[in-house]
Amino acid sequence: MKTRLLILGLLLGNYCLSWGQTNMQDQADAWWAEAQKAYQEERYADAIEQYEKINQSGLADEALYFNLANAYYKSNQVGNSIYYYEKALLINPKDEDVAANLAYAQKMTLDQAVTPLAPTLGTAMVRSIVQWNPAYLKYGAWLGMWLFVTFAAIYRLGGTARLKKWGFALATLSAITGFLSFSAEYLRDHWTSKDQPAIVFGVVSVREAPAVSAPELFPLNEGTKVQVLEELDGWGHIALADGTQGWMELSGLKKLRELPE
Amino acid sequence: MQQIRGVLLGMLAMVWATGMWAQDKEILFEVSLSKEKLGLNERLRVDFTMNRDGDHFEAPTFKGFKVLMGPSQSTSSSWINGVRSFSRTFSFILQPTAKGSWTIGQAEITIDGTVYKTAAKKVEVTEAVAKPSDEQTAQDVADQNVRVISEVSKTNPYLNEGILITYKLLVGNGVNVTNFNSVDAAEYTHFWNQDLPINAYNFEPTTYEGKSYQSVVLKRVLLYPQKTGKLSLKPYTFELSVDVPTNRRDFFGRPLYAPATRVASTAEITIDVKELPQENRPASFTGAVGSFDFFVTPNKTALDTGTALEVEVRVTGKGNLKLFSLPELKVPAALERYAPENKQNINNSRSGMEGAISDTYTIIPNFQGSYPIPGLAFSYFDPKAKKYVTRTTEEINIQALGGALSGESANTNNTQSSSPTMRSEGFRFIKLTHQLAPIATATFIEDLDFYLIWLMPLLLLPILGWWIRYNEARGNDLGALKRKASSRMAKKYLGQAQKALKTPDSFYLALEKSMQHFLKARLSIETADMTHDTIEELLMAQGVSKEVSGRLIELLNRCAMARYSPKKISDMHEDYTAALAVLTDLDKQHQS
Repeated sequence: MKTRLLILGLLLGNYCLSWGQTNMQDQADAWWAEAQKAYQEERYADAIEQYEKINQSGLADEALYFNLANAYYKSNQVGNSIYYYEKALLINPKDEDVAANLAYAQKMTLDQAVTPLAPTLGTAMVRSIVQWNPAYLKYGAWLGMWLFVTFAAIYRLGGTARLKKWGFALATLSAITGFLSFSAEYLRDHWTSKDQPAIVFGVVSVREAPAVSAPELFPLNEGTKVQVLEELDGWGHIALADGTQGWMELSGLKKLRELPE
Repeated sequence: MQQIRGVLLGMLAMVWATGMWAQDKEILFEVSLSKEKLGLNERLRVDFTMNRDGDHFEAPTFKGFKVLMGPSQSTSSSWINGVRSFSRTFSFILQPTAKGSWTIGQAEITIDGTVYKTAAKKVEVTEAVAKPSDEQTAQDVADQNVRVISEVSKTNPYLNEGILITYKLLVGNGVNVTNFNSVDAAEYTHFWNQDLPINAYNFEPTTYEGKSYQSVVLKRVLLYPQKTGKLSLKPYTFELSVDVPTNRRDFFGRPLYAPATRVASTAEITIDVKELPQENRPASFTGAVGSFDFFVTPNKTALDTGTALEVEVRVTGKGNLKLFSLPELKVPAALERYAPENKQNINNSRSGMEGAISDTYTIIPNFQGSYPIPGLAFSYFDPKAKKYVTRTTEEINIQALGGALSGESANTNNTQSSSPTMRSEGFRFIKLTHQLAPIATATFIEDLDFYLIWLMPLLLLPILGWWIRYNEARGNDLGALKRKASSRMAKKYLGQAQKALKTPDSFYLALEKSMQHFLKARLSIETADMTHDTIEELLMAQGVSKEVSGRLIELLNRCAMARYSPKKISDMHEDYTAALAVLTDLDKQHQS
């Protein structure tokens, strides 16, 4: 009886959730239409406001980030513009529109572009793992496991030797697929937590140590992309694309993987 | 007669009136000493001066002095512009007889019946001096009457706060200065200095240390201290050519002058320079002290790529303009910025440096786009308000329109470009479609639901195993199921045969089928494989005796025969009981 109630509750909750979501989608569509119109009429401040509403609601996609970044670029907000182009690139690193406009935005920054380090085999692999979609890995793990059980049953009950042979081979293959998907997600999660790109906002000082009194190494200007390696009491140990490292206050940057407040 | 009398009376009245006026002037009777401090070997001159004639002059007793000469009397009387001035002086020359502090007592005189007295004066007699002033040469007079002093506008300025040092020449009455040179110019170590030119030397009467002088400004220098703490300004030494009046007179009664050279130095001055306050010091402070205005102005904000614009960073006001650096203009990396051209337009005045300094940057946008040049901040310390002031400017937005993709491609266009016209890669428009979805963020690694669905099939495996084992226990295997079904069929057909005992055709058909199903169940063979030989063989293999199998074969033969030849009902009863016996025997023997 208890389990039945639980299932009923879950179903009801799910239904409410999906109903809420469709409601949200409709609202987001309305905001989107308004924002697109504002952008076309060059009312960039209004466009930003509408796009941000969608962003705040928790819905997002590459197109939203791209359009928002364009609107910020048009209103000369370098930091925000680069931030959202980079966010769009996190979703789809191969989008040419984003890459082209990001180049425009980067020309507005005060810092000279640094030559990034050539990726090693390890970092390249890590980067490709990080790009994988967790949803696919999840379905991969599930499907692998269910197919494994199905084929295992066929192997066990198979009347003929041929049936048994195929059952065994496919069961093994499915089991491998399932476990690989699961471990890929484990790695992805692990590396994602390590990969913390961020964009600098305002002008900040990069120092030798996490203290205001520590000697300044170099200043960074708005729009520069850094990698946060470690954190300590509101200070971040950061690295530039060329490998230069230092400490800066976390209040001076915005992490790309952070959710909108 | 009457008239003459009237005129005479008038004249008398006038004379009386003038007399009365002269009488009204205050009566003065004073003493003056040539010096108040003198050496034992020097002489003292004492003058008693009155401005009205009097009688019964009584000199004081000069205790401690010996009268060398006197009293000698001199009188002068003159009419200038109808004003009568009168002066009578009694002079004494005294020689001190002993060291110490002596008093020149009161002298008395009776004027118009009233007795007037001078004030008593103190004279200090010291040790004998090397050169008694009475035997003064022209040089001595020059040394005494010509002095050089320095004045500082402020002795405790802030670091970099402008101060003015003024060198003045003081000349005692009667001495003329004809020329001056600076011999040993002061070195202003730790000061930034600027000489202010003197256009005209104007004498002004001043009083310095109780003596009256004519003063003239020789030199003015603006100083900006560059170091904190006590700084000393070294003395400044001048060489002065002077003319000193002598006691001799020329033909016309004018005094004759003797030339002399005087080398005079100023005193050393100590300036205590204060450090600028550390608290609230803005980050943009680069050392400017004074009061300033700050501007950043571009000459245009919209232009074609590859063309130049100029941005001027300008500070105007009063203060140490030459002594601080202007804030550097920062421009986006895509703008080409050249080294700035520095311009100064500064006037130095007694109140300090005043004017403007500016840096003009030439900037060339190489790429199309919109580039914000961030506003600058300029801070200075206001020594009057004793606080820091920061002035900031607005962000400037530069629009670079059209033109080439980059500076390089613009250059190569001139040389040779057979390639089709380079199209600039424009700023891409927004995307028109979207696939908004909740942001997939959390990993499923920590998701319980994921593990439930993922591991559920593994739970199914033991269930499957249990099900298979259950089935095996129930009927050994699939063959057993078939056998069970066949023996059920055998019983069914045997039952039919019993019912059909009256009709021989259906009886034998049912009996044969019953036996066939029985064999199927017993021997696990199909109907098609049923020949008498195989049946016998298989039954033998199952340990059935030859006698029983022989009876079975015989019964099967009779069933086959009965289909072609009619049989009696009594035979049918006999065959049924025989079949029952055979089947029970087969069952028994098989089980054993």
